[in-house]
Amino acid sequence: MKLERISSNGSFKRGRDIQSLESPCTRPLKKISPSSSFACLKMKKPFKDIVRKYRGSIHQNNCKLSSCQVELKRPDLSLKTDQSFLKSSVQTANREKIYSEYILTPEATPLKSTATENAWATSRVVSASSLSIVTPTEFKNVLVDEFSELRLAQPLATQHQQSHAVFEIPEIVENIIKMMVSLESANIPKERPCLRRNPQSYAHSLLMYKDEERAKKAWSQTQQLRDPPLVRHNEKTQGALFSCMMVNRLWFNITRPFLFGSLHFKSVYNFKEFVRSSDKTDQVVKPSHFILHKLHQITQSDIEKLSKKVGCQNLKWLEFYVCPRVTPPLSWFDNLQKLEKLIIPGNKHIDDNFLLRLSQNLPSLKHLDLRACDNVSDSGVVCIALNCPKLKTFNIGRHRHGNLITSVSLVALGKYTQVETVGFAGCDIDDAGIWEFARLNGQNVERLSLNSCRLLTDYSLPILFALNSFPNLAVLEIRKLDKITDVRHFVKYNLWKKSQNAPILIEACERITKLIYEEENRVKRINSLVALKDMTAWVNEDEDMQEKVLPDNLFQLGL
Amino acid sequence: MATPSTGGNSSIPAVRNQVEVQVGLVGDAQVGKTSLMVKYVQNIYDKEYTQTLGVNFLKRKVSIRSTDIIFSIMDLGGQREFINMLPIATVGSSVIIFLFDLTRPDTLSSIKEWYRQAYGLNDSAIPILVGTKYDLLIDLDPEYQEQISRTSMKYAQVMNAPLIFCSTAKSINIQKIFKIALAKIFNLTLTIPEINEIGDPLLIYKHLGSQQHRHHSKSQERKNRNIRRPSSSPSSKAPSPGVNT
Repeated sequence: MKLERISSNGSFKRGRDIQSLESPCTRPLKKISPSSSFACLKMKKPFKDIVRKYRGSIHQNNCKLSSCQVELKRPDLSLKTDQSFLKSSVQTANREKIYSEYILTPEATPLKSTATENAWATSRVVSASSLSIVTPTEFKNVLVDEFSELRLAQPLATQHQQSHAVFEIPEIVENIIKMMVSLESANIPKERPCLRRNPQSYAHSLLMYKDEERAKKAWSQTQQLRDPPLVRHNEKTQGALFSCMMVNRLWFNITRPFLFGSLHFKSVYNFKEFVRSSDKTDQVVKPSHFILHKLHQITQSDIEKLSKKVGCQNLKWLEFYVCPRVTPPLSWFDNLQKLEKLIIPGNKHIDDNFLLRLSQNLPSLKHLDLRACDNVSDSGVVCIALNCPKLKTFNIGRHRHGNLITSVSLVALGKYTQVETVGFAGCDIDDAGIWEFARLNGQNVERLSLNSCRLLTDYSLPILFALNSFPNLAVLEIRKLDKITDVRHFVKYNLWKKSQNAPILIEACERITKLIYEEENRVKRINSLVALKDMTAWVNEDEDMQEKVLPDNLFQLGL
Repeated sequence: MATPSTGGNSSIPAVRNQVEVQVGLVGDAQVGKTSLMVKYVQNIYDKEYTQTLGVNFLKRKVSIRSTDIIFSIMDLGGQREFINMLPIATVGSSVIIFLFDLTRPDTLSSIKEWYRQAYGLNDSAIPILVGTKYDLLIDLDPEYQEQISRTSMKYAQVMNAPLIFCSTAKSINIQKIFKIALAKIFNLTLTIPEINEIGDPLLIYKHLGSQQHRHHSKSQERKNRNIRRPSSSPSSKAPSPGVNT
């Protein structure tokens, strides 16, 4: 607040200052000390303390650093250090006395480089090192208090505003930017996470949640989702990181690698802008994330244009979420050694040839999402299975062309990978395939989605569960499996998991959920009767027959 | 079709039923609450007196066939200053055992106050009246024996509580206390013969503490809670007794 006032006062005085000083520098300087606004600044006592502490340490440091001949009287206020001024002061040491009464003016325009950058950098180092010296832990609190009043200068509206010295220290700026990056990461467009699938009816909801209130809520939410509001992401949006880049050169340099490290777009406008601007430069960015989210309107030519300016050597996460008209550019295919996550659901252009070509160079791939890629068939999946041994997550669920994916894919995955999350919803896998998959890889499976696999019958899943073929399962999706009628072993399995304090989530359609519910009640009734019978036998037992007493737990509540 | 040799597990491991019963022990100081608990859980009897500070807690697991019965026993110090911890021993208990010293009639009179307080905190728990130190009683005057026996039977009637005389030192009727407790909670058929003769270690339970005699709606509620619990309730650590499967 105070700083703003200084600058507003300083600005109209500037012309006079230049003349009176007869300084060789081209940029104006600002005189502050005798002005009324500085007196106002002095009123604030803790701020004065900080000033004094900084100044003291700066003096000490200057003695040691011979390279820096500038005597900075109030470096804490010289935020955007005028580089040309530094230069002049080095040349004209005899004017030092005069300068000592002046504060360096924050005139450096963002993004402008001068030949004297070294001198500027040195002074920056001085202020940085002095800060670290005079900042013991108890002093930190004072700093925090002080900085809470400070704000970053708005680059456009108030061109010559001062900001605090702390925003000139690269290490601190980097921390700020890192903080921004972690906040921004929440804005990476992603699919709405799905905790429970939507119920098919209110009765189903009631069975799922076993609680009227929650069932009603879930059911009403499902009904709302039936006709979701159309959200268009065509408007121009600016991330906070973009704003950080506009502050000044230092901020720009520090923010740039973070911003280009993770490229994500959910608006067509932003994407087109990026394509246009990257077209003009020669720089190649090498992001680790590249995410396009629901960009229906972009074309392959945009992607091809961009692929020349975006290197994929560092790419770990490549996502084209429901961008039906584009595929990852061919030129990238040879350099995807680091890619771990490939998410291209809802793409009509991806076919077996594409996967064959792609899979040759994906040694690190862990997550592959090909949901609703209707043109992929068994041969494409087999290529992936053969070439991506680290695969952990694989999803090829679909509503159409289920006949293209058969047990061949499932067995190939089981044989050549240790896949943990498997999605084969809507595919034509049969009993034999799932038996073989369970034998090969049942140990590793944690999540299994087999919704609408119309060929599965009571001869596979129920028996496999009875044999405990998937001992580490946590989520099982068995919706719309019309031929499954035997749920006894699902219930038994779940009871066992519950006794291990790791109950599994079974997502089933209304019919199967109801069967499971009835079976659970039946098992519980039987178990209660057994328990009562056992207890009756025990209470009537002769005392001589008592088993040995085994203390299980022994502790005293120290109350 | 391949044979499933999946990870060595050829079937789902059997799950044992688990029944957890919380029992609270209350009564005057030095009547033998801690002794009874330690005797039952660890089968140890120590003649030395150790004052209980606050609440002692021991668990005993009894495994029978496919069912594990877990007795969680809360033992409250008998001194007046621990009365504010009475909720720990009573709230959540299915059975509250009221103990008095057969050689000290005043400990029987204070059962009135203990019962009043405990009932105020938990009116659905089944009370059991236990007279301790029976081994010392038999050396006393027969007239006194008869008097204390008759008085305690009257108390048991009023409280609708099974009455048991026991001796921790000589291991008389210790196991039976907890068997009767379990039988009363789950309404089990119990065939242990009663002992009614004055001078013998009394064991009267048949018409006392049964749920039919208690408030109907409450007993019904308890029965439902105990036996047919909804599947969502977590196993173990449930305060009320129940059959967890």
